[in-house]
Amino acid sequence: MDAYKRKYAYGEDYGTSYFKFGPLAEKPEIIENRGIFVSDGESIIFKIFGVSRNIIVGPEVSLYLGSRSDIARYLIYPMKDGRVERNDEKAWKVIYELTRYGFEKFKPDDRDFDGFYVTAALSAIAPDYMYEKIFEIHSRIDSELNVVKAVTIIPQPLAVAIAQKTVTCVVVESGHGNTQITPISMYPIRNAIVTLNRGGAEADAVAAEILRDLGYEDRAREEKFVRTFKEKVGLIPLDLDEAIRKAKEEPKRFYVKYRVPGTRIEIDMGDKSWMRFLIGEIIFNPEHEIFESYYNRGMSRPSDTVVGGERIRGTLPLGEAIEKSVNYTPVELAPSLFKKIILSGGNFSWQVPQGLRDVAVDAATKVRKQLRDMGIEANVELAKDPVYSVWKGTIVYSIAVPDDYLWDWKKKEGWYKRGKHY
Amino acid sequence: MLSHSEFLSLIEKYFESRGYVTFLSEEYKDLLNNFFDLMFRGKNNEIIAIKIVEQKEFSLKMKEEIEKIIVRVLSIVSNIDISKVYIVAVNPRFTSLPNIDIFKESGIGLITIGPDNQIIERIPAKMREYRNMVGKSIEKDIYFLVKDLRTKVYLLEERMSKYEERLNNLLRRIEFIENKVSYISTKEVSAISDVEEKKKVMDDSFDFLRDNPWLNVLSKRKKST
Repeated sequence: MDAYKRKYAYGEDYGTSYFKFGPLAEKPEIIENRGIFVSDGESIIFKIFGVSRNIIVGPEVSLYLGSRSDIARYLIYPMKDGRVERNDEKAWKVIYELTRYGFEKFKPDDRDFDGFYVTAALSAIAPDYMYEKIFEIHSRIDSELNVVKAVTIIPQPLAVAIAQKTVTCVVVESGHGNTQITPISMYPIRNAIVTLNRGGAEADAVAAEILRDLGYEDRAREEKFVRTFKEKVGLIPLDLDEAIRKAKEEPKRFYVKYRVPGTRIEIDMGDKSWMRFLIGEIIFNPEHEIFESYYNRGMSRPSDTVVGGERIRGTLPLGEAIEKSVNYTPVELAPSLFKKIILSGGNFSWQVPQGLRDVAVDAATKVRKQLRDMGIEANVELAKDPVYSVWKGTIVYSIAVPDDYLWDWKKKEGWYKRGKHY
Repeated sequence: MLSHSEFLSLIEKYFESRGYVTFLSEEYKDLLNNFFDLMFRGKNNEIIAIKIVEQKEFSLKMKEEIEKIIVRVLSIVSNIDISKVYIVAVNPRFTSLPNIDIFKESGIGLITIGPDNQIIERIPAKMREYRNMVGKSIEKDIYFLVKDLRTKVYLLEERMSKYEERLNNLLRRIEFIENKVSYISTKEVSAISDVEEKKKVMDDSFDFLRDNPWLNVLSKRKKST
């Protein structure tokens, strides 16, 4: 293995909420994927005092927010569901600053340093213009700092598979706005990627409805409160009907009173504690009839997507979506793919409390059951170290891919190199 | 070389020839006593304020003084009704003046008086309506500037504290290494090659690299013919 690439491998994970970055180490640096515009570049005050920074990123951002609520409008979150809009100039400026921040932090003084081998990870459904923009940003930073010898981009599910040390598998990545199912067999099988327009946002929506039913209308409108409530009280049922039946028969066992840490604010679920199972179930099966009353009330039904000309229901149960994705791959590959299904992302992180193991399960068990009910025996597991696994995959990629493997737009692989491409 | 009062008289004649009259008012008395040199009223009741700056020995000093005046003026005009402001630079050298963009963006005009006492309006002043709209933006800029300066100080303090900690750690490690080196020099070193040693250390250090089949799979990537 090339000693220089091992020494100067660098990974970047462009997540919707966090940017993770850094050279080979136990774990990456993490900063929020946001920036604050402090100047439009034309400020006379700034010119007189020689302040040149327009955009602040990193931990300093919170120092600029202070108590003025009007300042929040200068705060930009560039990514939504893993995408940056093509013409959103401010968002791309923030992405540039984040990327540059990482290199400024880690640029070594070593004499032999001639730039990093950078692997950046984007969403599996990132459009081509995002690839172009990321390449452009890195080549610009290299011209300014001489820190990018070569850069490449890989989809986040491939990075997860690499970190999990699994060459043939299906990676199911579930984020706030969508869930992507990517079969991998040494390469991502792009024409088999299935995207569902649902994720943590749907669980938030159900949690908000539950809060309304419990009489906490104000709390239901606070995004952050709803999210922490969801994370703390949500449960994944092995079988929703059975779980609700037991929870109604034994309300004390399932009873929960959610207290916001450090405050006296409490949400008492009382005899409605069975609703905890709805929060988990909606990720896996939004087609269950119990959700119809919520859709009728106005809660958004996940919208459909189109894969290879076929319409995929937004409410398709997760197990069925995984089967559909595998069916798009060569038939001889299917058994190997079902042998390793990896679940990645915050929506799969609900734990199973003691005393409820007869009805509540973890995400891997749920998906396994869904597939078994369809006659498919599958091996499903949660990604180890879900916070860092994408970044780890990028580091392995940087180290291993040969230097002379150049970027190919058809395969969307290879090094975009200084001296060749910029 | 004219005296200060002679310059004042020269400027009064200049503005009077353009239809302005010298303006004195209780409301502006403090400003005239403490900052501005002259004030005029125009035909449309617009109020003009004048600040004179004479060439100092060093160009840099005059430039700095003018920049400070601009900042002070911007602060003043956000609270009081002054339509236009001119800075009158007496016998300035080219290097004594701030960048022309600063005048244009602030709306402050520049008049120069040359060695022959010739008065020339180099940059016209802009009416105050424009400056009102800019006022809010400047308020925001000043807010961010203060935050920026505070942040810098805070970060510097943090860095100093971290450097101190790192230095202490380094000293501890040097001591440890010195002890280890003296121990190793008494032992026989095994015959593992340098490259393999490094490889072993790096592989063993990170679990996600150790026994990862992707290292082999990816190393075989090549351009298809």
